[in-house]
Amino acid sequence: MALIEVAHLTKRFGPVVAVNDLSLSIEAGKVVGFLGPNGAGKTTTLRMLLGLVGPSSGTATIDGFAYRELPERSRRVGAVLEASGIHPGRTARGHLLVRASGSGTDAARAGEVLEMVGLADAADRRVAGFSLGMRQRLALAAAMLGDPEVLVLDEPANGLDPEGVRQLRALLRRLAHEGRTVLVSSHVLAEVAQVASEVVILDHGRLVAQSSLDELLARAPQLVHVRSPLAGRLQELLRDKGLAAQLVDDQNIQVRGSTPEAVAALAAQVGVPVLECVAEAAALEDVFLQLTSAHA
Amino acid sequence: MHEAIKTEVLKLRTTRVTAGLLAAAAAWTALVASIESSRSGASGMVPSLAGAAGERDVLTSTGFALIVAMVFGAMVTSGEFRHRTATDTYLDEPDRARVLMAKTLVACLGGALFGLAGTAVTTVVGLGFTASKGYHVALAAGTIARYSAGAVLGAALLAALGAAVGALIRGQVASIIAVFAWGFGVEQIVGGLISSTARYLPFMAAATMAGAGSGGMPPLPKGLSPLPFAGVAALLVGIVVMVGLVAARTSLRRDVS
Repeated sequence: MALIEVAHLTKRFGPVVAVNDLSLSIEAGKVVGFLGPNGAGKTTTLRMLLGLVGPSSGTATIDGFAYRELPERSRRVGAVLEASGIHPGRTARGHLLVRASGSGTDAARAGEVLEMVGLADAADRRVAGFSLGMRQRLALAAAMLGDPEVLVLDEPANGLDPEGVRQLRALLRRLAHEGRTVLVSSHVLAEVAQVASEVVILDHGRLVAQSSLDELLARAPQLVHVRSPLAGRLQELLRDKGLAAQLVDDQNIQVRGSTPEAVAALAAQVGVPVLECVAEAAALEDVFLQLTSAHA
Repeated sequence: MHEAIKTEVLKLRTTRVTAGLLAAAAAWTALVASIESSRSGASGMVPSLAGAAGERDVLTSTGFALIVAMVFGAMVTSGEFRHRTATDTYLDEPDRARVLMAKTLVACLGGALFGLAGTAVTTVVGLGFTASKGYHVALAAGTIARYSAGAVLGAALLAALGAAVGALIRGQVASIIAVFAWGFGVEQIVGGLISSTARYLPFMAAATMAGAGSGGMPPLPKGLSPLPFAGVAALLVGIVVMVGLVAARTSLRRDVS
């Protein structure tokens, strides 16, 4: 049985359908990227999963339970939904003590999780003076208070500087290595690609794809890079044959939807010299854009 | 429920908001009581401190502490939305009715502190001025104690009402404005125009619990015959329960986004 199960989930805000008959399942022990452009319905879905937003129809469960019915909730699920949702007048330690008390976890964990996210030195500073990155780390620390099996993270990299993103990535890798299930939403695809083993893609509230990263990348259109001293002439020839060929500069062309062998054969037929002709690795962005633009 | 109450108390202890509000309530109450004491007997508003009426007006000028108690209650609930901490609160305790109940009880307890601070200040200021003018205290100790108990209980109930109002309105600034507008605007106007309704209005009801007269703060309409202490307390509890139920019903249905 899947650990997280979403079945025919729909949420309407007046005339707007934010999530539309969404069904998906996530197995335990996986890091899953929850992708989609802004407004795709990612946050609303996560909030329905966590009982903060009531669905118009459908269900969302964790280990077979609605979030509010989940036994030992804080040991099962930790979530970061809004990094700015921390009282600015509280110290980092004060914030964690409040969260520990509210969730019924051991207050002694506050020190441990502060250490874990590298905020031990700032434990007694008020959050008002924290950078966005520090707030994000504090929110992650709060999510880790119960040492949960499942982590739900909504756009955790938003507003982080490159160093913050690097630290977040390292933390996610560590959590994955520990065998936790992590559902991380993002529209910054490159981050997810580096930590996730599986992706779920949403667009306009609907599920567009759910698969492993490798399977998803295999769907990408083949991109062929060609270098030729007669690049302009070769581009015309390829276009005449119905291929999408784009001139990168006066010697380089990118061709979509073909193979190096086919491109080289066409060039040889008309005597255009080819200095280099190789397949390029498809990028997750390409697949993502292709999938989401197809549903626009 | 015990854990939820403990968490709400911890929330108050880990910020400076409560202490700041308490200090503001005490300072303003001291200022009002001092002005009334110094003007007593000289103006038509407050009678001389040589008599029980003048002493009563000064000792029961706890209106500012009462209204700040209600503001405090509103901040206990609306603060969660201002600082966007409601998400974490409901992640930790998804039973929203339990959260609102805990907040209301804690607001009630905290509100009592405002009443206590208010009555302590007016008693010290009033009796201090009385002694400094060479008068004997005309009010009986039991009467002063009853005013104090009324201020404490009235402030506690107003704070609970504030918590329900804050949960309904959610916007912190809007809820604070609503509390002040109601206490110092709507009730004064309605009570002034139709004095027979004044004793049923929550802020004036709490003030009458605290023993307020027509020369104190807030000034009650002249000739108003207040409800008995138990009747006012029951009225205020009823209003708190009614508004609280509406707030609970609304909180349970609303999305937290």
